[in-house]
Amino acid sequence: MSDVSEAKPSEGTTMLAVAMVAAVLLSVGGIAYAVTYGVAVDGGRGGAIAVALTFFILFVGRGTAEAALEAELPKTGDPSEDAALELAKIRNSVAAMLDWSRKEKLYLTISSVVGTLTWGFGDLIAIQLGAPVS
Amino acid sequence: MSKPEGGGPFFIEDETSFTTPRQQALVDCVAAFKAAAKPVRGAEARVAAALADLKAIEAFMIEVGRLIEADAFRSLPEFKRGRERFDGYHQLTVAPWRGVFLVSRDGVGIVAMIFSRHPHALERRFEEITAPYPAAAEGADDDE
Repeated sequence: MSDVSEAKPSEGTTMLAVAMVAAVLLSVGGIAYAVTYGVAVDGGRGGAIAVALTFFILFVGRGTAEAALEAELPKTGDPSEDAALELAKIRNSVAAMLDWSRKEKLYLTISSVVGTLTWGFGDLIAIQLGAPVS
Repeated sequence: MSKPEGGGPFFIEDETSFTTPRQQALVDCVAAFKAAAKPVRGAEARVAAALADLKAIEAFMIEVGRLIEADAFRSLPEFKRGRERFDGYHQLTVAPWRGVFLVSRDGVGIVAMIFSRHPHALERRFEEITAPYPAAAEGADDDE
């Protein structure tokens, strides 16, 4: 089963990465819009949308932890081996949850920090970059 | 070709050609599952891949069982090695698994089979199925 051992840790996190990149682009895009077409106060709107999008990350997941816990593994007939398999299911479930949580936290932190700061201070940055105040 | 007591579907004549690799595949899948959470970093992807493997092997076995019950092996695509064709040999792919079956002369049962996981090396392993059953293979040729 060579594929399993070669599985990359980043697999399955594409949606998280896409949401994070979108949040950053929205934040920067809001400021760019304020400078180019709008007024300074528009600089924070992209950040507001980015924060809303950040919540989406909380609901993205593959359900691997649940699937590992519910997995039906072939019984060996040996009670100690079967018990070891049950323990492996629990261990894999917890490990999958911890690993996903670690990746989720990274993406969540970046998108929420960038989004919130832009929401709060995007107008000031836009003014600094030459956006009209009103 | 044998039948179970009281009638029912045909079995694979050389059952070890099926049960031995199936058992080995299951053992490998379970071993990969057990090892997937060590270490925790990257465990989610490895556990997901191991679970997908377990589901895939189960789906492959179910499909083989369905084909045995339906006597439908001859309807499967012919096995080819490059442009080389082999009458009597048919293949089934249920990703990532692929099996090559030597179908009996009457076209309803399997004499023997080999199967592997992607990336497939069945072209190289083809002799495993042809060498022990030259007569059956010729019989399948005659049938065409």
